[in-house]
Amino acid sequence: MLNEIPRLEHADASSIEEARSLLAAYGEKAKVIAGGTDLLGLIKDRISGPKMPMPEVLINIGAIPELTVLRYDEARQSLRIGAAVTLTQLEESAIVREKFPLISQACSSVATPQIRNVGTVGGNLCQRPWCWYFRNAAFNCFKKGGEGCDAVTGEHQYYFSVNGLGVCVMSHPSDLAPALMALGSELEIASKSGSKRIALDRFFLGAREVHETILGPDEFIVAVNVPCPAVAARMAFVKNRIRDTWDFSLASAAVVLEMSGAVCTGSRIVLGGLAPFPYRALDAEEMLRNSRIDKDVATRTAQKAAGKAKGLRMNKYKLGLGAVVVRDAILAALACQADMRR
Amino acid sequence: MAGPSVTKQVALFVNGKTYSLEIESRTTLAEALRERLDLTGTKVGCNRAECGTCTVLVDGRAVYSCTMLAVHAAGKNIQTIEGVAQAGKLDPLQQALMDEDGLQCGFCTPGMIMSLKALLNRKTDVSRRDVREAIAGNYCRCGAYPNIVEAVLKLGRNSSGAG
Repeated sequence: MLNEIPRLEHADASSIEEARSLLAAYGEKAKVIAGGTDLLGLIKDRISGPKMPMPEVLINIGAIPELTVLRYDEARQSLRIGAAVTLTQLEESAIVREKFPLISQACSSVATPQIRNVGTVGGNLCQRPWCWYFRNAAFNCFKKGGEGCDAVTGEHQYYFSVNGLGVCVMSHPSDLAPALMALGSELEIASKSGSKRIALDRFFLGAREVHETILGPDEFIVAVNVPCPAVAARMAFVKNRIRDTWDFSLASAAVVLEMSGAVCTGSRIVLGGLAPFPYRALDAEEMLRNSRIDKDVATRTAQKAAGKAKGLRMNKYKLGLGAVVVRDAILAALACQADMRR
Repeated sequence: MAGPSVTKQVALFVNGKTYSLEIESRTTLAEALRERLDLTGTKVGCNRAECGTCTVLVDGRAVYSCTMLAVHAAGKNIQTIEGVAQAGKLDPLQQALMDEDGLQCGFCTPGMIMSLKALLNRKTDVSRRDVREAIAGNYCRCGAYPNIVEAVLKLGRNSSGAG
């Protein structure tokens, strides 16, 4: 069908400053766009409501120089990923493969080559729920300004949460977010008042909020800063999905282990696909501290990671699935010999 | 700076030719190619970045042209199915797909070919896994996948055999 996108205005921002002033001028009518792989689909399907106005002005931030930089700072031992870097660029980066294999693994598991070639890091972190009620104009769900959640009484066997349930029970769709969070990343955000930094741990909101992130309508991500993990860190990302390709996760786990010889001195374990936000399994992290990891320890830690999860009527199987991906990711991380260790 | 606007003057660089045109900002690359440039080899199936038949190359990378604004493709190097055969002669990939029955109804074929070109332009010695990954974003509802994969693998063997 032709012209499924309604008539709208479009501007290319050439700098952060320009994007900021356009957002200030157009307010709620405006929306930033870079790859557009998520946003354009929502627009075509007229997914909107009292709390989700249809954009009338698109501000392209994809070509702003600071947002397209992917650079490893040797002195600071930190990777800076511009928000408009594509998932393909990130996945294929030699330095990412060498020092942050977890990120590369997570990127390669996202959607399809065509989406990864266009979809950006910022867009991946800010993507809207992959919930078939949210993405159907006939349902006026809580996230769009309606009341309640049709998924609770409806079909929720796949892309829905078992943990952190609130008004909305979608599971967060990002594969990249757990990986970046497990590495202790920090976001740089452009806002009306300038720029601010915030730990990725504090970026996502709970299921009682209309929006998934702390970003206001006049804010956007400029870059993600990823500190280089300790020399003896090992890491892995494991994703389970219905089909081996082109699918969102039923459950995923990103694990970073800091090792001293055979002993795990610290870890970060973040789950995807199981809660309305990337879920950090603090209890499980604590359990791994100062342990010698073997299959048994990994299995028990994984069961702990499921924590107080309850699940919904049709998705309780994801409790077990969550434990499986955590166990597999811990064991895969243990087996991973990152080049950085040499 | 140019403020937001409903229409824009853009230059699209497609298959080696530059086209200057005024388009609406909302126009997708697929719509611009088909409706404005009459390059109807690019098909639109789902129009939702899911089926892959609208795949074209932008700066050498496979993209869903139904879900990219044409204004975002301005100034970039766009290649469509019409640019694959050279001087009336089929590309070896096209010939291989015909020889191996790598298509049935043919609706997915332009997109399949562009996704495979994106792979073969970067890598000549491709594995079965590479080929399957390259077309992971292209649906073929006739189910011609096995022959498509075989055609590409055979093409690789033939070209390496020819030195």
